[in-house]
Amino acid sequence: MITKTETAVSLSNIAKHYGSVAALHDFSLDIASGELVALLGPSGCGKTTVLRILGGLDLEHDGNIVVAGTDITGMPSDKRNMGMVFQAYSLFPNMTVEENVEYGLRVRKVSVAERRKRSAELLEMVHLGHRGKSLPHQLSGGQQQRVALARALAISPKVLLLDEPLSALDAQVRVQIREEIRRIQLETGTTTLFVTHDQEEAMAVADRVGVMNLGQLEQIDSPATLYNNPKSPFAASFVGITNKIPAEIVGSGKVKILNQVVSVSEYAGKMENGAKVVALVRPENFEMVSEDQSGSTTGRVVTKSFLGPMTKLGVELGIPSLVSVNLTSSDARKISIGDSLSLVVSSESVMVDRV
Amino acid sequence: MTIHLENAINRTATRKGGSAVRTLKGFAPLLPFTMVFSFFFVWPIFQIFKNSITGADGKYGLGAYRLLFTKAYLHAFQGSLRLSFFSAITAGLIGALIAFYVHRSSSSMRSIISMASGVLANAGGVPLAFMFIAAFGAQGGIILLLKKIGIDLYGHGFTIFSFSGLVIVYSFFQIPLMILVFTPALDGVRKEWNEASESLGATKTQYLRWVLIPVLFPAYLASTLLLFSSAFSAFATARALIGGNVSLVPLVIGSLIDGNIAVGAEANLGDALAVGMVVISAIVMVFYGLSLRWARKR
Repeated sequence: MITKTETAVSLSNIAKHYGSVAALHDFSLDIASGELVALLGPSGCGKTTVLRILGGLDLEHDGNIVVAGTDITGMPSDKRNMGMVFQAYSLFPNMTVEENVEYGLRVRKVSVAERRKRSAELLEMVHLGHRGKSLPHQLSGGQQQRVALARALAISPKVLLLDEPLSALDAQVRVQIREEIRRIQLETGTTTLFVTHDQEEAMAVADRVGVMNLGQLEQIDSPATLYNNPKSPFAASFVGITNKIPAEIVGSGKVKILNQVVSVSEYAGKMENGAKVVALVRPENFEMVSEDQSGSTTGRVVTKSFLGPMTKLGVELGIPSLVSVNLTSSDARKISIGDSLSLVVSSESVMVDRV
Repeated sequence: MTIHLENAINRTATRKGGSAVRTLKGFAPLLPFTMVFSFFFVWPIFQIFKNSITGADGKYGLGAYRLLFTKAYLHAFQGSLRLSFFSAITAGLIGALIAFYVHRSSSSMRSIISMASGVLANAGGVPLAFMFIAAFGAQGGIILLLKKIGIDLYGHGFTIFSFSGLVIVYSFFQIPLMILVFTPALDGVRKEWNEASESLGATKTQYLRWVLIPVLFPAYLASTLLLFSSAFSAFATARALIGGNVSLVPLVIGSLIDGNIAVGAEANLGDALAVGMVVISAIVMVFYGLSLRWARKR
């Protein structure tokens, strides 16, 4: 097991703009040696720009980049020794799988015998030892991405950069390859930055997930902390499904959601009595109760989707949008579409946001 | 039992009938093309071939083909092949460079160049020859203009009515053709290849040598072969520009059709020359097809 202690990558106060549009603004991130950090965010939030700046494919306008104790700010990408895996179609089409994997070693003038040995090892690692002589177009999308991973690892990179490497693959292959990426990353102990817009993917593979918004890092934490204790409404709504329920501040630190009063865990606005806010409640933070329980709200079940151990209900509670509620499938077994359902918010506190 | 068997046979026959109708329906859209192709391509080639081996007395023979191997006609083939080769190489290189520029330019510039190329690629023939005579003939506008600033091209031996003049004129429609056919190959080059190469530590030259040139070469070869083929069969431009100054197969065939009285084996010489051209074009097209297949694998 790799210990993640010393800082392998340090990005400090990075700024980047395209014309008048700021892609990154005062962006800082430290990645420990052997750690896998995923950057998550909506399109245009700047996550790919961070990766490209670290890889030297784009240059920053301000800030510093230190990798393994060396300042590499402004260094050309071919001198950085970083392996990159792109979204798709990055294999050289005129070369066999084996030649693709050997490319970086050929550049470094490694002997043919040594190159062959290394590429064979890496192809075995990605379970493609038997496809060394194939051309890229003879492989499936998933196999091509595995070769791209082997090629990036062949040069023993200081940092592995993964730019949405699974986005062009179908759902089943995605899960399979992301698990392989994690296995190989743990085996090799390569410090890795993984960029994705898929929260499930980020949560599944990363040691830490950074949520980005408008060129800045909103929050970076372990997947569990990020999900359970989001520090901003954006992080809460971007990670996992969140109901946005109209609510009202009732006294200091309290909010009235539907018929129930609960504590406020996080609010950036002023706690003024009677202020209209939006409460952010996860689907699993509702509890089914009897109709006469104080604070409960009764609504009508409009949709029901069986998801294995959980069942997802869409409940009309007299607010503009349907409220998404997750119950265990055993609890939801007797509930049908059109039934009445009484609910309370089960968590002690909720995060609220301005309307 | 018998009734069941009859029913089964009827059902099978109906199914087979249905399948034949479906097959016919599938081919129906191809019918106009097949008719035009057969009438204007297959049938004339067949007739030319038949005529080339039929003597004036109606007997079959290869007399006309034996004449093809005499010095005068071999010289015409040599001239046509040389002209096609040099014009394809020249236009191929210049066209590829312009295509590279088009590939990197803005979409508005791209559409202007593509539109102009589409027009110019089809601008061969007599008007093109006269345009060049008006500009580069002994008393042409550009030649006189150059003379005024001290550059006397004709004084240095240049003439538009020569082999090199023909190469220049052919380039006028060959370069746009190259731009049209080679730009899509450049558009297929993915920026990820360059970035992957760079991140793996390769220099620009290494990327060019090991990735870009090998990837583009089959498409370049296919495009150049297309230019070769187009130059090989061009007639009107050469006829209007040089007449008989340079010996080319299409011009020799033209002069035979124009009424040069021929007897014996020479009566079918034009057909035999045409068959020779068809064979060379077919060989070029086979290589063109192979290059395209090679390019598609990239």
